[in-house]
Parts: sequence; structure tokens; C-alpha cells
Amino acid sequence: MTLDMNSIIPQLQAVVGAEYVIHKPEDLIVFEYDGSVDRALPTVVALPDSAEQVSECVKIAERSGLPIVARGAGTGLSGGAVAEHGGLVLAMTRMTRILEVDVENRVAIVEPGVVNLHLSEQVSKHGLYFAPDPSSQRACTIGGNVAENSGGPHCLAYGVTTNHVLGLEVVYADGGIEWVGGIHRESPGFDLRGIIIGSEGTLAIVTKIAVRLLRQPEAVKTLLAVFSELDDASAAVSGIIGAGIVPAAIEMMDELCISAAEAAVHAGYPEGAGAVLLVEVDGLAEAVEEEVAAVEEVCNLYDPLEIRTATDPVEREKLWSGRKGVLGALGRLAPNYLLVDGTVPRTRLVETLSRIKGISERTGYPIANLLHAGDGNLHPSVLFDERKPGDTEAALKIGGEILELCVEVGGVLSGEHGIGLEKQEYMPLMFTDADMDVMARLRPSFSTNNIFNPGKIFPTGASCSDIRQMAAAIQRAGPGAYV
Amino acid sequence: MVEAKHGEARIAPDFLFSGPDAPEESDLYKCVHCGFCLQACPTYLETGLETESPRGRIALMKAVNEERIGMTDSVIRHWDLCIQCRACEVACPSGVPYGSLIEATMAQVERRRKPGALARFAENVSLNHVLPHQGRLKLLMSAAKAYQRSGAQSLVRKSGVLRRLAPSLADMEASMPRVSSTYFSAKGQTVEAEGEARARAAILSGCVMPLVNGPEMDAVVRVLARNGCEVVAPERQVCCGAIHSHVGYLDAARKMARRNIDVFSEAGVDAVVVASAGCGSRMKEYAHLLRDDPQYSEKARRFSDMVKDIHEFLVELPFVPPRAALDCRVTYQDSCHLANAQRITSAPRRILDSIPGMEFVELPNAGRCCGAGGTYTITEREFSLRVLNSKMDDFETTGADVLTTANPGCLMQLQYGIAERGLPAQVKYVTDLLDEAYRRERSG
Amino acid sequence: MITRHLRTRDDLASSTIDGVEPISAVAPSSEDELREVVGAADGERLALYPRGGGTRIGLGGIPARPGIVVDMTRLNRVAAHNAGDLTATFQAGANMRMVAETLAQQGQMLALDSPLPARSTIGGTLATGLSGALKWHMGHARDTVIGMRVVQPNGSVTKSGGQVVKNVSGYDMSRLHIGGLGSLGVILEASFKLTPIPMYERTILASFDSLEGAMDVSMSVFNSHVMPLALASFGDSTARLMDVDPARPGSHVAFRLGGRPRTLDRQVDDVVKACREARAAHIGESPTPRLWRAISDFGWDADSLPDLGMRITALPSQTGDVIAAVEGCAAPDMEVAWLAHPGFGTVEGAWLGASSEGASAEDLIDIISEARRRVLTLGGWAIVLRCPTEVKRRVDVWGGEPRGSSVMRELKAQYDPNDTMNPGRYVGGI
Ligand SMILES: Cc1cc2nc3c(=O)[nH]c(=O)nc-3n(C[C@H](O)[C@H](O)[C@H](O)COP(=O)(O)OP(=O)(O)OC[C@H]3O[C@@H](n4cnc5c(N)ncnc54)[C@H](O)[C@@H]3O)c2cc1C
Ligand code: SF4
Ligand code: SF4
Repeated sequence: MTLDMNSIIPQLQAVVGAEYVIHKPEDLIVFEYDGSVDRALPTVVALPDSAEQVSECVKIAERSGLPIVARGAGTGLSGGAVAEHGGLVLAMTRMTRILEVDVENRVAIVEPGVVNLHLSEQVSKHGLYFAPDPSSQRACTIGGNVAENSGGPHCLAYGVTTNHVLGLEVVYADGGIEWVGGIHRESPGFDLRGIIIGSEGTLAIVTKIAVRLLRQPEAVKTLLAVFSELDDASAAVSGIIGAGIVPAAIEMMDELCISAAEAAVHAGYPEGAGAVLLVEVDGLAEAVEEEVAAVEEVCNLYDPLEIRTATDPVEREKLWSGRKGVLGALGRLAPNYLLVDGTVPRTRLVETLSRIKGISERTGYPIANLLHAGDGNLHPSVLFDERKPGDTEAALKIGGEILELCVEVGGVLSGEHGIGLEKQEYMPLMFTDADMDVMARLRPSFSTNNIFNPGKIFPTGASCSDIRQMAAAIQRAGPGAYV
Repeated sequence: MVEAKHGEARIAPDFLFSGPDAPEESDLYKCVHCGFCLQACPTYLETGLETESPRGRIALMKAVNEERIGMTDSVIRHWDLCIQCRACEVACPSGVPYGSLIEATMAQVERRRKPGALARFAENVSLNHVLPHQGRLKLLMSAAKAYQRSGAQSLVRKSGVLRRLAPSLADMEASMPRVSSTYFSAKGQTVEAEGEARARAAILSGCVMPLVNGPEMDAVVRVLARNGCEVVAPERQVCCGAIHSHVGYLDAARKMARRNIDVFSEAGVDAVVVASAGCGSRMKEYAHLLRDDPQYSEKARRFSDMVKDIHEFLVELPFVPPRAALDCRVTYQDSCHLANAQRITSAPRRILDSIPGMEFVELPNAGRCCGAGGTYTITEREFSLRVLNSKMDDFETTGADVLTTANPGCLMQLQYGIAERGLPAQVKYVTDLLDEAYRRERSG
Repeated sequence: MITRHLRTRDDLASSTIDGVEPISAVAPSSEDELREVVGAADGERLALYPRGGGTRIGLGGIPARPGIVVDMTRLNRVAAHNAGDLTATFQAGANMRMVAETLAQQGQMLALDSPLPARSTIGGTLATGLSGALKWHMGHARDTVIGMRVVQPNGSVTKSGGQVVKNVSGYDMSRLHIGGLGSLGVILEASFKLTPIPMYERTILASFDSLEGAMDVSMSVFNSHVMPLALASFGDSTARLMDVDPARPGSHVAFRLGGRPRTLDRQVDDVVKACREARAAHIGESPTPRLWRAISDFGWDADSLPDLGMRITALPSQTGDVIAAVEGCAAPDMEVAWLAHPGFGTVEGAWLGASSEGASAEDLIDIISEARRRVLTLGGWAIVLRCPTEVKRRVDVWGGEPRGSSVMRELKAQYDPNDTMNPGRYVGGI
């Protein structure tokens, strides 16, 4: 099929305005990437300003069989917004309006290009906030959060994006515009909302989002516990969860991370620190006091070297500083790192981490572990130097091995970054052909004609050892970023 | 032009990076396209376009570096639109030194660009033949002053003659600085410290500031003296070269840097105090500018360490909090070159906070650029005004009657914005208010 | 043939749905048996009607054709309870009481309180997607499921999700089955994230002379820092049907509060204060388990089984208007009772005929259309939970085509091409 771009471009320009159609080869380069390492040039980019414009663009592309890739801020870590097969990229970054805030019912309707943190900032005057807080929240869009079903450090108590979205206005592959779900907590029929959330832009383009807002907690307290042994820290995590305490967040770092963080931000961890736990509790002032005391009690069972707490925002930020600065600090240990994203049952943390240590010892590559430990979401980071021949391949192999380990102990391939292009070849580790076939049939159910984000999520047939695919599993989020 | 593969037309060398002033490859690849900088960038916020974002601009640099594309007009356009406010640098978790990347890139652009447009000609004349020479600049300013005083200005403005003749000239005229009645000039004079001397400081007089903001410079000197500083203004100092680097005239900037290093190093001072944020950031980065100069790299490093922004210097001293009160509602716009390049945000606020009686209100998005950015107001008039417009919207929400800032470019831009909207507010330097409070102490 | 190794129910009548008697009823005792039944039925173009405890089997339209009722209650294993991980996996036939008791041994619970727990099952609770008052704080049924295994109409078993609490690997297929009324496949097993049982619990029951007072306090607590475990409001008729005796007549609000000692005290203080500010006529305490059991069972147990039951959803702030609409839709000789979850914007209305032969179909149809008319003006929607078969023949219990119905039909065509699963019962006649 040959594409007549000479006719498609003017059509798109007529819909969104000439300024907002990008087609010069030089300009397209800035749409070839997202936050992952994948790259592919789109054929043309349009920036619509309304659902109607999205619909018109979709119709134009669909008529010419041009794949359509929605794009938020392009912070995704699994290649979701990369136009693997070229086509039309619909960048939603002009649709940044907060359309409605219903304070009484704690519901807001926003456009997909609204930046996650902006919504919380806008509604903070009403004492409200939007709970999902991916570490990229300063940059990522709510449309992207919906597509990836993003989580964040505080999703332990409050849940991920899907738990906070009531309804979506979407554009289907035939250009039809429809709401699924709505502003109400229940609606009749299949939960299309729930199916579209986390579908990585493969089923429909999201043009409006009705979200639930939460009341800002009355009090917040952060506890930092330092252990000499990683095992003790992981056991403390299971201990906290097992004791029936569900804090807002439980984050963890291992010794390598600690030494890097200490060097970079002088977080002030004591000598001999082998693991750090950061626990945040929020809610009623009384609840915060009681729960922190309970957390402290559990931590004390595992020989902590030190426990510190803080309620003041500045002091709390200090406790968080080591954790937030750690990725940037890893750059001090090695020029490159490969960040893996997997989840394991919390009771298997000790075992998983010790087996990761085993992998590191066997292969000779240091692996630094930072974790959203409360939900068992691990980010082991394999340290390497891409300038050394064979290092990259070795690191990738280790990354694959860690994912296999996660699945083996009852975990999953991705806790929060999605499958996209990065992990599609690993899907068979978790799912049978029948499982994947059932999933894949969602696309015809939405009559997508396979034009929405083709080639994502499911294996393309290349074997797991295929180096290009392995390379795609690398996740470099930026040294100073906080993942 | 994309993907110059074998057999395809090669990109003409003119269109590629070359020579010493090319963006540092290792710096380029520090960018992992995480997008954290997007929301900090004023041009991205105005357009929502990745092409007008830091990440996009870096991607274009990488692509030119990889010889996938050349520096075509459209590529250059995206770099030109960068205000060089360096807000992206602060937001970047990976430590990408955007400031030096764009500086080097603009030097490459300058090499390749054929100066055709009148605007660029004028820019060249003023930058290379006027700014560095206080004498010529003064002459020009006197003419401007005469023009402003004569009433001819208002006549011209009213008649719209200019606008019809040459729209871009008309725009430039509109933002022409209000020339002050007295100039500040560096003649090697020394101002004695009040009371016991605590430090000896040299002051950068700069190029535009002493002329446009003569009285304000005097205020800076008074404030320093009041705080026990002996202040010298070395005579042979020249413009810091900031605007030259902004548009890619790096060799000119280096020449000025070397001269200033020599002059100030001879002055025997504890610190070189700079009242203009743009100049301060340039001078703090002389070390980078002259890194490959065997004679000067070490000197430049030592010199850069001596450079202090006025607010930073006062707070470190520490300054004496004024006792007299001022009755006004004030807000503060972070000057990009102070907040982003020098990472100084709390010092000016602490100074304002110290003045009794004054009510301080935070300006929403205070850290977002006002659109001034060196010659940006002139070369990218339309965009500059778009950015200014957002700033003025934010300012109006504060209800403040004084808007303070820390850089002459910002001052002029904000003054223009306020005049355009006819707001009953004044734009001042932070040090103006401090000086005013000190003077009140004396008078009452 | 397909019932070969299965226990055939003697009493087919008890498996009759809306007067449609099944061809046969089977109760598979293993996953393989279930797969065989489903696959075979599909192969022979027989309809399948999965059934849990039968507590809410009446929900939905009239079965399109007779078929095989699959009784799931023998598939009732606790597949896993990973207490340290706050997760558990149950077979679909596990009944809710057994689930609750199992979890309680470790101080944990599943934040889904369905009516008649001794009979209702995991599968039925998920398939109907109707849960009780707890949902307000803890989220919807769909928010507690982390993984699911389903028998597809062709007899294959597929899974989605996993047994960890944070997971974005692949599409989350369980969304289609929760609230999907078994119209795409048979839920075989589901994994949940659990909630710790609060250390202490108390229930405040306040009575108000006016409905406004009850609604005001509900909204003020909904928008406060206190997060009750559950919040429900009801009128006098409902109280009587539930056998609850508030000290004063009027509109009542119950707050279920829980936590550690000081937290609980603080919540009680705040709630009592809010009730006072809303001019409560009486503020008292009620024994927690009994009141909330009654609230959950309302409209489903024998004592309160209505002739007509409707579930209406609008915005939380509109709860009072919905209640007024429900109360305004009474026919002569009919008693109307309402139970509201104001934090959720949901109201359950129950209409009971005064005479022993029950209400006339005409009256009930009038009530349904009047209630729908009123609710529509509020922007909400209303489904019929329960009504006589004769009424079902003449009104759509789901209230017409929902948004997204063309995709829903396409889903049905993709996943259940032979229309095997619960034909005719789901929205839009799916
Ligand atoms: C440093 C760093 C830290 C991060 N931390 C976290 C974290 O803590 N938790 C977490 O979950 N993620 C994290 N991420 C990943 C990423 O930020 C999230 O996945 C985010 O939700 C992506 O949003 P985006 O706007 O950038 O989307 P993009 O990357 O632009 O797109 C992501 C996917 O969404 C689709 N999409 C975007 N908009 C729409 C729309 N309107 N309709 C349909 N589909 C759409 C795209 O097609 C693509 O498949 C991190 C990323 C970085 C770089
Ligand atoms: S310097 Fe300012 S305008 Fe330029 S890319 Fe960075 S943030 Fe944008
Ligand atoms: S924040 Fe830094 S690393 Fe991230 S895209 Fe911007 S410049 Fe690149």
C-alpha cells in the first residue's frame, strides 16, 4: 500500500491547523522516542485540540490504513508512544484543560494532556488531590497514566490509576466518540472503562477522563529505618504487611544504592547500613501516630541500626532525599545501568533479593536494588559499562534472568511500566498462547482494525534471545530521576 | 535529509557541527529523554510542541551530531526559539548541561547562518560594535534619551508612522529601554565602607545596566557600603559577553572574558559582585568558556569562584536587616539566570522578607521565564510577548504594587508588560527596596 | 452424555430462572469437569447458566432459551491464602461466609460484603458486581481483584493478572467478568487483595427528623477527614424490614468506624459532632455486625424480599433527590423502602405489595417507568434488581441500551460466538 502523504497532510492540516501538523523529516525526529530506549520515526504527527479533531484525524488515518499512535508526554518506559510501524502520532499535549471540578462529589473531568501533578495542584485549594503519583508526575499526562494504568510510591494504600478513574470519553477506530463509564461510581454493562485503562493505547484514544479526587490527608508522617542486613529490611516489610498495617508507601534501598546515595546527597545514613526502609503513613492525626508506632514496633523486631521519623514537610523531604536521588547517584558507580521492573509476592522478597544477589555474584555484575517494597515492586538495576565489549549484552541477559526469576516465584513481568515494546517477548513466561489469544481478541472487539498502536504488548515471534528485543528491555530512566 | 545512508546525498559540511565550539558529545548523551524538563520550558508550555521543548532541541542536536540531519532553517528555527532561560537544566534529573549545549549549538548556527536580515545586521552592529564599548553605547543612549525626552517618541508612537514603515523596527522601539537620567560609570573609583570594613568588593558595571539603570547601580553600591563593604569599580572592565554567547559569538565573548579576568584579578578584592543575574551567570561560567585556553583556563576557574551575585553576597555577609519599614505589597519574579543558571532563589526572598512593613506575596509560576532572554525580545518579538503575556496574567493575580526582579533584561521586559496593560505597579530591583529602607532609616 | 460423571439435581425446579426450566443442572466437582461441561455445551449449542448460591440468580433478563444450569458450589476451595502478602485466591463456588471465616483467622477480610454470605459465592458476587456498603471506602468489587481464571465457552481455561498487588502485564481481562453476569465465560477462580480487619469497630446510628439532615451529615462526613468503613442511610420502613429499631422515627444514617483505639475515638467524636451540627434527633450506637448484616441482606433475604427492587445510581450529592424520587413512586397498597449509600450515590428501592398476592404487574411497570423518568432528569440510571417474570417480559431490567453497547455486542460475538453463556440475560439482550 502506498500512502499519499501529499493528500493526507493537507487533510490533517485542515482539521488541526497547519501549525499543528508536523511532517518535515527533521521535525519528526523529536517524536521518535519516549522515555525508553526504543525509537522509530512516525510518518506524520498531529496535535488535535478536541475530541472532534481526534475523531477527524482518526478517520483520515483509518481511510489510508495509517497506524495511529497516541502520545502523551512521552515519558513511558516501555516504548508505548513509539511509532514502531510509523504512522500518525496523535500528540495530546494541546488538550490540557481541566474541564470541571465538582468539589462536593470529588470528581473532576480533565483532558488527557493534563499533566498529572497539575491536577493535584489545581484542586489543592479545595483540599483535594489526585492519588496516583507516578514518580514522573511532574511530566507525565493523565492520558498516559490511563493508558499505562500507572502507579506510584503511594499506590500501596490508595491504588493505581484504574482505582481512581470513573469514566472515559474515547474515540474508536471508526472515529466514533463515546463515553464509557461516567461520573458515577457504577454503570451498567461491561466495564469497558476498566478494559481500556492499561491497554497502552491499543483499543481507543482517550479524549476525556473523569477522575475521583481524594481528600488531602490531615497528617503525614515519614519513618526511615536503617538495617544492616537486606534480609532484615525485607522481613520487616512482610512483617508490616502481615501485621495488618497498610501504610501509604513503603520504599526500600539496598547497600549499593545507599552508598551511591550517601555519596551524592549525603543522606546521613549510619555506618554499616545494608538496607533502608522508608515508610510513609497518612490520614487522621491519631491514625498516623498509632500506625507509625506500630510500624516502629515491627521494625524493632529486626535489629534496626537506626529509626528516624518526621512530620514536618522539610524534614520529611530530607528523609526522602536519599531515595529520590538514588537513580542519579547510581551514575557514580557505573556509567550505565539497566533498570528492571517486576513484581513479586511480598513474602518472597527475601528470597528474590537473595537470588538476585546470587545472580550478581555469579555474573560479576553489581546489581543495585531499589523497590516499591510495599507492593513487592522491584527495580533491580544492573550496573555495566556499555563501552566494554559484551557488557551491554551481558546486562540484558541478566535483566531477562531477573524477569524469569520474578515470574518463577509467583510474580509478574511489569509492576508499573507496562509491556509495550520492551517486554513483549517475555509475555510467554506468564501467559499461555490461549491466554494471549483471549487478550488479543479485545482488539477486534473494539473493531480497531489493528490501527491503534500495532505491534505492542504481544510477542512478535522473535525469540527471547533476540538481541534487538533484549536491547529493548533496557530501561534507562535518567540518573537523577526517581523511579 | 534524514538518515543519510550510503548512496544518498551527503549532508553538506556547512550544515553539520564542526570545530571546537560544538556541543559536547558526552553531554548530549546524558539526555535519556525522560521528559522531566518539558513542563519547565516556557516555549513548550506556550505551544505544547515537542519541537519547541528542551528534549526536542537536544534530540535535534543529537541528530545533527549523528549526521542524520543537517542544520536546516527549520532546525535552526527551533533552537532560535529557545529563550535560553535554562529552566530545563534545573528540572533535569540527569544533569544535562543544557546551557552549554545550546551555547555551543548557537555558535555552530552562527557559523552557518548567512546574516541577511536587517535584524541580524543590526544585532551584529550593536553587539560587536556597540555593547563592548561604553563610549559608543553612551552615545547611542544619549540619542535615545534625547528622543525620549523630546516628545518625538510619543509623537512617533501615536502616529504609527514607524509601524507602517518597518514593523520590526517599531517593535524594537517599543521595548527600547527607558534611559535613566544619570549613568553609572566605572572610572576606577572606590567607595568607602560605612563603619568597620568587612570586605572589599569589586563591582561589575556591565554594558546596558549602568546606562539604563544608573540610579539602581548607585543603590547597589550604597547597599554594599552600608553593609561594610569597600567597593571598587575597576575602570578597564568591559561587558561580560553574555549576550554574545547567547547568539553564538563565542570568540567575542572569550575576548571580553579574558579582559575582565585580567582587570578584576588585579583589583585585589574578596569578591566580584554582580548586580545583573545574566552577567553573573556568564562570569561564573568563564571557566567553562575558556576551558580550552591554556593561558586562561586556570585563571578563569579562580576568577569564576570569586564572582558573587549581589543577593548571594549580601546574604552570605550577612547583610544588616533594615530597621525602617516600607509600606507596599511586593512580589518577586525569579530571573532565569539567577534561579536556573546560578540556582539562587532564596537569597532575594530573604532580603525582601527582612524589610519591615512590607507584605510579600509569591508570584504564581515565579520561576517561569518572562520572555526577555538576551536579545530574544527583539529577535523573537512575537514569542517573547506570548510568554510575557502569561507572566502578566500571573502578576495580576497577586495584587502587588511592586514587582521585583534581579536582571536588567527582565526589568525592561516586565516594565514593558506593565505599561502595556496600564497596571498601577512599579518594577524594581530587590536591592532598590533594600536601599530605600536603609535610606529611610537615616531620614527618620 | 455430558452429565456422565456429574451429580444431576433431582430438583430442577429450584434451578428455574424466570419460569424457564433448565434442561439439566449439573454440579461439577473439578476444574476438568467444569471445562468439559462448558466445552460440550458450547459444542452442542446448548445454553449455559452458571449459578452460585442462587441468591441473586433473578438478576437480569429472562433466559433466551432453556439450557444447562451449572452449579458452581462444589468448586469451593481456598486455592491460596497468602496472609503475609495480604492476598488470597478462591474458587468461584466458595461461599462468602467460608471466605470471611478463613480470612478472619489471620485478621484479614475481603472488602466485599455480599448479602446472604452463607449462600452467596465469590463467583456470583463478582459476576453481579453488586456489593454491599463496604464498597464506599474500599472501592468497587473490581478494585479488589488482582487476577482471574476463566473457563471460556470453548472449554479452555485462561488467566489474566496475577497474584501480586501491582501488575500491568497484559490486558486485565477480569474487568469483563466482574459485573459481566457470566455472559462471556465462567469465572473459575479469582485472586484478591485483602484488607486487614480493623483493630476495633464501632457503629454510630443517628436519626434525623428530615431527610435533608440525614443527607447533610452524610455529605459532610463523606467530605471530611474521617473515612468510615461504611456509610448507609435508610428510612423507617427499611428499619422495620431489617428489624432494626432506631430510637426515633425519621431518616437514619449509620456510620461504621474502625481503627486503633485513639483513631477510633477521634472518628466517633468527629461523626457525633457532625451529627449534632446537622441537628440529629437522636445519636446512638448500634451493635456493628448485626446492623451491617441486616443492611447487606436488605432486599435479598426472605424478610425483606420485595416485589420490585431497583438500584439507582447518581452522584453522592444527589442521593437525597433520588430517595425523594423513590418515595414519590409508590402505588396504592404498596409499601416503599429505601436504603442509600450516600458516599457512593447509590440508592436501593424496594416496593412491597401489601396484599398476599403481591402487586399487580401494571402497578410495578408504572413505578419502574416513573422512577426511571425521575432519575433520568438527575442524570443517573436505574436497573431493576428483582421483579416478577411478567414484568420482565415488558420492561428492560437494565434500562435500555447502555453507552458502549456496540462494543459490548462485539465482545459477546468474539468471546461467546455461539451465544452459550447466559443468553438473553445481560444488558442490551446480550
Ligand atoms: C523517570 C521516570 C519515572 C517514572 N516513574 C513511574 C512510576 O513511578 N510509576 C509508573 O507507573 N510509571 C512511571 N514512569 C513511566 C511513565 O511516566 C508512565 O507510564 C506515564 O503514565 C506515561 O505517561 P505519558 O504521558 O508520558 O505517556 P506516553 O509515554 O506519551 O504514552 C504512554 C502510552 O500511553 C498511550 N497514550 C498516551 N495518551 C493516550 C491517550 N490520550 N489515549 C490513549 N492512549 C494514550 C501511548 O500510546 C503509550 O502507549 C516513569 C517514567 C520516567 C521517565
Ligand atoms: S533554556 Fe528555557 S526556553 Fe530553552 S529549552 Fe530550556 S527551558 Fe526551554
Ligand atoms: S530532563 Fe534532562 S534527561 Fe530528561 S529529557 Fe530533559 S534534558 Fe533530557
